[in-house]
Amino acid sequence: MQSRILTALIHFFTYGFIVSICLAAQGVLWPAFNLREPQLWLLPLAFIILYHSFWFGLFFVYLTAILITGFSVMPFGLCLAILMILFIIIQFFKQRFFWPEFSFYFLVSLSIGFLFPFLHFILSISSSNTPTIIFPDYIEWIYQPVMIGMMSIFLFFICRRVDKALKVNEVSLNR
Amino acid sequence: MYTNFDIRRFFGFILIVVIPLMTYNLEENRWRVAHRPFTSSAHFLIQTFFAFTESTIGTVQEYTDLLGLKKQHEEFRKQLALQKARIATFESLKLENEKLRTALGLIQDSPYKLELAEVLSFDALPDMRSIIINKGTNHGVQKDMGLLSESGNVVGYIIQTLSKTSTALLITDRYAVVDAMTQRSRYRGLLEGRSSYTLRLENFRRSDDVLKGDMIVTSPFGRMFPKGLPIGIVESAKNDAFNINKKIVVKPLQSLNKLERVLVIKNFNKDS
Repeated sequence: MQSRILTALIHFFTYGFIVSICLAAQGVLWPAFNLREPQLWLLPLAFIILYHSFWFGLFFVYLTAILITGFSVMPFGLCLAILMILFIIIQFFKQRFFWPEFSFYFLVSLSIGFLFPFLHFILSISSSNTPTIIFPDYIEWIYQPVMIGMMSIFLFFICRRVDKALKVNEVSLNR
Repeated sequence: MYTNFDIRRFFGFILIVVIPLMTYNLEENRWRVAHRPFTSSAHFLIQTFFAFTESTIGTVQEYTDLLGLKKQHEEFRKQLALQKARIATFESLKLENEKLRTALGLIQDSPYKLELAEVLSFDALPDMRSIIINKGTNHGVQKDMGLLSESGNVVGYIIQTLSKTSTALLITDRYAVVDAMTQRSRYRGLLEGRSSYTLRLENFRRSDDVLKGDMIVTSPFGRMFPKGLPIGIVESAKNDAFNINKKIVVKPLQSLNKLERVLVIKNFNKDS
């Protein structure tokens, strides 16, 4: 029992570290090459929600929201609200249409590339006097899903390897 | 009586609905202290990443430089002769420049202590405009200190400090507000970011004298910047839909997406 909890914790923080690396790369690596930064940190999050248990995913949403506050000035509450809605949407599709292959993960990756800025736009209108005006930036709306979709191939195999290394092979659909 | 009560569902409801709604409605400043350990580790990771990126770019740059070295060698030989002649001219210009600088008091007589800081990272999320700089409380940097670009334009202010690094909000961020005024007509208002390449000047009535092309500078009533520092140029000034206020769009004097170094104004903050 204790070793299971320990493995789960190691697993949890390993993915936390992967998300942190993705977030650090956002602000340092991509701007250094004068490129727009794709939101790669969404990919490990999507992987966790899809291929791990409901509770593991739920706690990981909290960890991701907390980690983001170190790398961005986005308010914690706004960030948590957006991620929680994403979590609910992905869970909804996972419960109904899930098939355990890369193509499903790829589709989810493309979708969250659209959904994240969209939810941010909607929630910022409802919560702030100066809402985001990123909505009309159509280049961003095309660029993000395309880049996230491409990068999902690499992230999928990295996350799979992490799972194998920590001996978590089964796709968990139980609530 | 309580046989239908499911503890897992109850916790699920708390975690999915109650906590996100509570935090969504809470003021962000209350959370900033709680974020501190995560911010420290994030800044440490960013510093490591920055050092790694810099060294990688440096190595790649050196390699590409080597490839073009032969061609450049011949070209440089030709240029050398030309440069020697120009150096003599520059020497006299340098002396003149130093005299002018002293006369203007840009450096020696400046009442403000400026700290040069390197930009380590930009905000991780696309809609947010913030930077992390490599100077913190160890270097005397404090919250609410103003930031200038190398050419002296206002670019943002510090919102959080750690021992070796700080987070600064750029003026273009939608949460950023700077007290500003028009340089020509001296009308005062609040300059707000819009998370894009423009800013919005608020609190102007339709009769206020603001024209396209007016320079916007810091006002004397702001607590982070001394008065008269340049911020941007009025891009458009039109009356709003109800014909009551003026809708003023300001363009920053320089692009804030490619900042490499900034100057922190250390001894101005009126609160400290």
